[in-house]
Amino acid sequence: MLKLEQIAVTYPDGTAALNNITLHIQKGERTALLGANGAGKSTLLSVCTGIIQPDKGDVVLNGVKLTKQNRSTVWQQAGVVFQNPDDQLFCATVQEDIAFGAKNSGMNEEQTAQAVQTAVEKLEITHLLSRAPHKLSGGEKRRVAIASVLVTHPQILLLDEPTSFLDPRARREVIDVLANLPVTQLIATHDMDMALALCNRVIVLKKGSVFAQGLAKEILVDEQLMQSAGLELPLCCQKIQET
Amino acid sequence: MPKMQTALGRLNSTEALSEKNTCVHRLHPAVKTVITVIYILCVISYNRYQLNGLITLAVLPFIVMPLAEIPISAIVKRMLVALPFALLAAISNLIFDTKTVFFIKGFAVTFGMLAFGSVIIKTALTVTAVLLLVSTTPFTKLLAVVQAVHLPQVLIMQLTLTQRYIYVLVEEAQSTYTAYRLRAGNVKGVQIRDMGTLLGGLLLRSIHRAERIYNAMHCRGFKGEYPAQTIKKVSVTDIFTLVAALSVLAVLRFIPIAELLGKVLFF
Repeated sequence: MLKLEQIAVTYPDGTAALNNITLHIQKGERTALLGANGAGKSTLLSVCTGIIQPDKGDVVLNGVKLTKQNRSTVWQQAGVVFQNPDDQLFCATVQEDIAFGAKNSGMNEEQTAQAVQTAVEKLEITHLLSRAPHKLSGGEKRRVAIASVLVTHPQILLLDEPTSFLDPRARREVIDVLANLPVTQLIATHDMDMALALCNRVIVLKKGSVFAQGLAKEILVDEQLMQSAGLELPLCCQKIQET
Repeated sequence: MPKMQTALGRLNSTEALSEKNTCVHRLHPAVKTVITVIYILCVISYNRYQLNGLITLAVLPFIVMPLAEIPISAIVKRMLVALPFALLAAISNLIFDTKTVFFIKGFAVTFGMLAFGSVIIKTALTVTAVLLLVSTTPFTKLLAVVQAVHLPQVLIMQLTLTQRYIYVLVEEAQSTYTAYRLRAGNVKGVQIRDMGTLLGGLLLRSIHRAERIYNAMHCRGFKGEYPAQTIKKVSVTDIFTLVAALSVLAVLRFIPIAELLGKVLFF
């Protein structure tokens, strides 16, 4: 589904953000991208969507290599949910925001309305359609942001910290929503418990390189590995250790 | 900064007013816009000494306000913001245009006084008309109207994004200010020497946010065209209301009702 081969990105100030990253994400997989602040998670997501052009290496999505010429079309296959929904929801109403991608993908009015309806029903936000995004709660904004991406039926969802800034209930709602989406997901997060609950595979980044990758239930309980990567065990594992 | 909060509160309350469900709110936004524009044209079409016509036109907002359940205080408070500018513009009439028109119980009324009153009333009426329009029509529907009359896409996008992000900007400014106040000691407001740093920081954050929004737009296929706003069709009631309102305006504008009433009552 998504292959990253020897990706390297260096920022203009000379900081190496990503060093020779090679990753393969399989279809239907839910993968957590973990790492301390500055490890390169968000940069990696930006590379996957063509927002950042790597200095070296290839991004291959569904067998098609991402180039300068075709990177403007990648959005139809890879939906990005940004960390801050205020960055993502830029239209005057929820309905327009969700319809934005659908219209740009070439759907006519009828198809757009149908796609919007399907997306809002899936995320249970039908009652928010006429609301202005700035008047929504954090959890509602997040669900609208996910709907705004799902409306174009992407084959992979790239989510940047989907549970940040949320209260426990809203966080639980978002986790449930993601758990019920039958689409490949790559989730950059600091929320270890969510990673354990949602993802079957985990990729740990450290200083722009892949530090470890493997099954979530193996990586996330390895205290030494997690500490070396600047991370902590999920709370549930910490509780078990304490007892 | 509390002033920013107050301004935001006013913006929020105007939005809340526009979401009511009265007969005025239910009217088609294009109909309300046309009526407002014609009303403003009628107001400004009087010459600067014709106060009587303006007074008749002043009746209309007082009919619309209760119909739309808009409190007079809400309109007056916002209108007061515009009045000082009108006062400044009109005050010279009192000084330079001193020719007497008539006397009221020995008091000389000058052309300058009439012109002064005319400017103030015209400002009050036009601002009231616009305030009534925005208090009875959600911003998105107004945008749909301007889009329907083919206002440039860039302008519509600017208006939409400004309305969407003004709240985010104020929130960011508020948190920056709070952080400043908590460490600034007993100073009042923002000191001049810190102003540059605060505004510069806000500008940089705005630029970064704009970049992220642009990326988000690109990630959903933005190619420079903003989607058209949807607008409902004009109903028979809308057309009837439009015709009725324009007829009333025509009568008020072209028939000197105040003079006729005066003649009937006093002669």
